[in-house]
Amino acid sequence: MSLNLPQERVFAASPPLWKRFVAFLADLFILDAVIGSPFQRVVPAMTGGFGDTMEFLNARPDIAVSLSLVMLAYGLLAVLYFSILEYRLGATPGKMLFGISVRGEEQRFSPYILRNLPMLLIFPFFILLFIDVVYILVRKDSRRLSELISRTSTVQYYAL
Amino acid sequence: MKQVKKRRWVTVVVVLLALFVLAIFFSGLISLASGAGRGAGNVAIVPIKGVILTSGGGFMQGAAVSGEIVQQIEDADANPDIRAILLEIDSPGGAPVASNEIATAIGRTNKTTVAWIRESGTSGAYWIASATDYIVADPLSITGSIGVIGSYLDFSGLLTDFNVSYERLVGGQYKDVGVPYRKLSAEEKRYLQKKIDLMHGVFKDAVAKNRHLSRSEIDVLATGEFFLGMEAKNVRLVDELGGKREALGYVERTLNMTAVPVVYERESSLIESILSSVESKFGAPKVQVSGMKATLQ
Repeated sequence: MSLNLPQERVFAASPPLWKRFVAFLADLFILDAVIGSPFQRVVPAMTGGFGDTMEFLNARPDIAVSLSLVMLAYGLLAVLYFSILEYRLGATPGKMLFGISVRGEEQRFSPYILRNLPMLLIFPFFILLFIDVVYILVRKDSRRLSELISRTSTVQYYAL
Repeated sequence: MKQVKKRRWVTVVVVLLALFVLAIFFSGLISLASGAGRGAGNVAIVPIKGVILTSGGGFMQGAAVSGEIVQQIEDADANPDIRAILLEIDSPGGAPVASNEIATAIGRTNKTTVAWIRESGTSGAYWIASATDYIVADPLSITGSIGVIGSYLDFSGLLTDFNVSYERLVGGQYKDVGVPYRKLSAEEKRYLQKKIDLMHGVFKDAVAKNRHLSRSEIDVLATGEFFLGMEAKNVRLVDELGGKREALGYVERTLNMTAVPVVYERESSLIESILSSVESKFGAPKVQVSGMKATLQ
């Protein structure tokens, strides 16, 4: 005999900014551990150590191309990390830890790529990162510009 | 609910693993494309690590292959930006031909050369070091061992115990001298000893010439004895006690410039670049000795 109890009512709203920020930091930490470590060998070998990087780059502008490749590869992998996990599971591990998720108006993969393009650490995409931060701070619903463009949003579900 | 949660975390782990593999691949590709490891500088550091051989190497053997090292020395010599060549030596020695090839290449350069001996720079590695203009070693470095070894294991007794015999079929009485399946005759032993003495003589002459030592002085030192760095300095086998700083300091004083080191290393293949992104430091090199093989060790 089913009891036919009323279903839990939930509504989605924008999570607090501190949660989004800390979740992002957690994801960056995971990213650095997983995809950052293979690149750690490549960069010091090119520059002879981070401490002398600027001096070295001025002396060897050709190495800047190689460093750009490293940044591009890192950015691509970061975009894949966020996009794949948000599309498949609705959240990255950092977001899962804080109970927030991503919701999209369309069930396609491309909006999730679009919303994470600012993670590409090369011009002009990294400019979007700064614009996104400004948008989060000024908008009432705290949505990023890339979220508006991709028609996705970061939400937290609250039970009534 | 638990199943759903478990599936989510499995998906996370799978995605992270896939990204890790991609990161290794990309870093290997970029490393290969950029020739990472050789930036700008005026002092070429050529590492000589592991047993010195004429062939072998590959990404798992840790040997110092003479052909590759000679190429690096020649590349550094041909580079107008490079004013000095610093050989970073950490090797127990190796094959005589390989050691001589590298020593000869050093002798042919027109640039200031310095040997920096770290843990070990004995035998063939010391031959190479002696060919440079200046040798710096740590007080506790193991160096010297100016000698030749051709010892091998004689399995003839073991074969007899297992009723295995060696059928000798040769054209030329010395063709199978040194095979481990039969005992050496006294004549054969004298024959091999003569060869070893010849090689030893060449080795001693080279060191005596390089280090400006008299015949009597080198005869006293070239007993195969190894010396700690501090002992080697007393007998003029090394010039200064110290490390990389002292080696570069010599270059700076001699050439009146600020030393900017750049490492000259063998260019890796794509697989080596990818694997080196995850592998840890290699352990000691493996050396296989089959039959009789004279080495400077």
